[in-house]
Amino acid sequence: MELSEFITPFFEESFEMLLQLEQDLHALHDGETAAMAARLDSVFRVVHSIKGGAGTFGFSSIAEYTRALETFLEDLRAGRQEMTPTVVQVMLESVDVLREMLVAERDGGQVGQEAVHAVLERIRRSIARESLSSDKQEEMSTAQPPVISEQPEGMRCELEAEAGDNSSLTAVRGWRIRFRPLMGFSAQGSDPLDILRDLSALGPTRSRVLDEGAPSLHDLVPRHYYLGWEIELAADVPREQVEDVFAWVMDQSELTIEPLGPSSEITVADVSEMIEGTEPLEPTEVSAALPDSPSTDHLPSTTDEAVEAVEAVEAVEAVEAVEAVEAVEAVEAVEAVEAVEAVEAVEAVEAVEAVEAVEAVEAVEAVEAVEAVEAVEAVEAVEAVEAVERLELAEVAEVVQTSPNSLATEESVLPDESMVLSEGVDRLIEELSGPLREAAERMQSFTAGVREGLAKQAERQAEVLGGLTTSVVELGAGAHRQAGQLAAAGDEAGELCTRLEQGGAAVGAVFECAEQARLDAQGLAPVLRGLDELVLQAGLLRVHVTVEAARLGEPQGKVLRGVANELRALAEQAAAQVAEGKALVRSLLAHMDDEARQLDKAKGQLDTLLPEAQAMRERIVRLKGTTDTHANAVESAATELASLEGAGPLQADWLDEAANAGRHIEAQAEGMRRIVQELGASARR
Amino acid sequence: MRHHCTLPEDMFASSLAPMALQLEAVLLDGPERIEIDAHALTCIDGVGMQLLYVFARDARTAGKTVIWHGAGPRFVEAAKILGMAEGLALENQ
Repeated sequence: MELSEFITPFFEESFEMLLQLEQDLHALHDGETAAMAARLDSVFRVVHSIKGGAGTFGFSSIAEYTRALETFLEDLRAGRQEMTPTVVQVMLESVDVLREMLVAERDGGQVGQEAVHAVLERIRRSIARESLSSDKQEEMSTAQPPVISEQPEGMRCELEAEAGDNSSLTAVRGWRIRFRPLMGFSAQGSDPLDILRDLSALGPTRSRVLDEGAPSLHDLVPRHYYLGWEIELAADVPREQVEDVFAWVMDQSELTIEPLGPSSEITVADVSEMIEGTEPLEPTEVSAALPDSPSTDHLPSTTDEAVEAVEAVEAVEAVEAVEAVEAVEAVEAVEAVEAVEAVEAVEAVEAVEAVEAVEAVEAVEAVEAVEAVEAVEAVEAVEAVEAVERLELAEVAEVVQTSPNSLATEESVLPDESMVLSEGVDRLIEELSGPLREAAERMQSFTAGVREGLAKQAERQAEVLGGLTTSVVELGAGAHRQAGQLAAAGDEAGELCTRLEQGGAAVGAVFECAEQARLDAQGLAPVLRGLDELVLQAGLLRVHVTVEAARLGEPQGKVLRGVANELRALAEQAAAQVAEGKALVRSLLAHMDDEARQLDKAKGQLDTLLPEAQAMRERIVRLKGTTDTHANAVESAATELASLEGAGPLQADWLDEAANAGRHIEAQAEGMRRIVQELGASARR
Repeated sequence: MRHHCTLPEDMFASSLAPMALQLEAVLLDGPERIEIDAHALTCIDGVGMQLLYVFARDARTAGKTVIWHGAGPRFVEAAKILGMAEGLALENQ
């Protein structure tokens, strides 16, 4: 069944799930707090399922959108985000947008990105309001350990029951999972973070990064996964439950799941450590509940004691019986696990064989090519034998042809010779016909089998090579595009350098102008001092005129007093204007000093930025060189693959040649049969 | 405090290329103590975490120390779930 056949059911189920999701959200909106956690879990599951499906079918926009919703819902579930009517309203709007996106993807339409961005922005703002403060983050990280969800009560009881006296050394049941995404994992919208988060919902987990083979930052393609993970899950859950977590990504990753055996490194103490924020589990005296074995040193002295002793013995036996049953079950469980592992091992071997099969195809084809050549040689050998036989038959025919004459002349002498010859020819026909027919049939069967097998293998090889060639060509095109983008980035960086240089020069020119203006403003100081002098002299003149007016008395002095008053008014006005001029010049000078400082700072920053931009440009150029090399290598690989595809027609030619050889042998055999039959008939005549 | 690199609000697969270039530049030219501002970071996916992990690993190899400022709960949670808290030096955040 093709993957595309699942798309229609995916859309149908998604729309049904969205209806359920809306019901849950409306219930939350109506304040049904009692079942809030269950409702939120239901909402989360729906969004998670749609995200997984969208990723599988390559609907990346839906996968990315639902991932954002999922993140938001995780905050709500963990209590990091408060559930308010506004939040519910945002979620309801997000469901509408999700439905539109699904419809658009199903019908080949498009959703307005504004609506998508608007909802995501509202969600982001909600998150930002609640969780962006650093202080608050710290408080929350201490109050609510986000890594591992709180241990389920049942699990904890079980751990405690298992703990015994040496709880810190007691092994815990669980699973060890090795998981490594393959190329194309992220293109499907899948995310290891989501997967490991889902896994931690099953129980405490401890993850370790497997970074062997991960390239350096310089060679890293950011959208591809290079890392793998080894996860220890301390939860006594069925294997299927663990597999369910990886259900969407089974075909996009390397995955092994194996039980943590009795020698597991995970202990109860480890689990306590894994459950952040919880106290270490205390050992529980399980054995204390069991009755001691009866001892001969304490024989019962009364009926009650005897009854108690019997009951104690029975209790011990019961416990032992239970333990025996558990032991059997444990053995069966181990066997079951081993059986599962054996199946997985077989599957792994099959996977390896599948890979090897592709290589084997080439080997088989080489062998078959040799066989085809040998077949041709065999045909030639048969033809040589036929030639010899034809020669021998010609001699026989000659004998047969000469025999009638001999018989005619010596009829009376050798009456039985013709009969003997006829019988000999019959035997020859009989002896030759069988092997010749058999050889022809075998050759026909052989060529038919080879042709069929080679045709199938050639078809498979062509299919595999075609897929590989397409992928490699796409890879090459991608690398070339990337190189082109890097070239454009390099050009932009170069342009940026030029602009920074120009900016630096412009700032320098402005700085010089400002300096000149400051000097010019300083040149105003002597002018202002001259004006001050003039004001002072006007004041003195007014005093002189006043004195002179007093000396002259009335009425001559009255005119002079008027002049003196005019002079005083003029002097005061001039003094006020000079003071205003001085203040202006001082302000101008201060402003210019400030401007000069800022220009100096800007110039300094430009001087720092320029070498950084130049360095970045050089790095981009280096990156482009590396990408070009990669692109050329990929292109060469594509060419080689394309040349491999051309091997198919050559094999077809060999097959045709082998088939022709078979037909030729058959025709030769038939011809020989006819010749021998004719000879026989002649001999009999 | 001048940071040598500021992480954006979102770090998803589709928008990581410029960030990778910036981190590489910091790795090449930055000081021995690289200060990263993670205040703005609100959303990050697995491939974004991988980028930061490889950056921190290469920095360690080059004898440099990475200091995170304002690492939020979402970032720290992702690091712990993916087993990267130690590799990113976020254990005590």
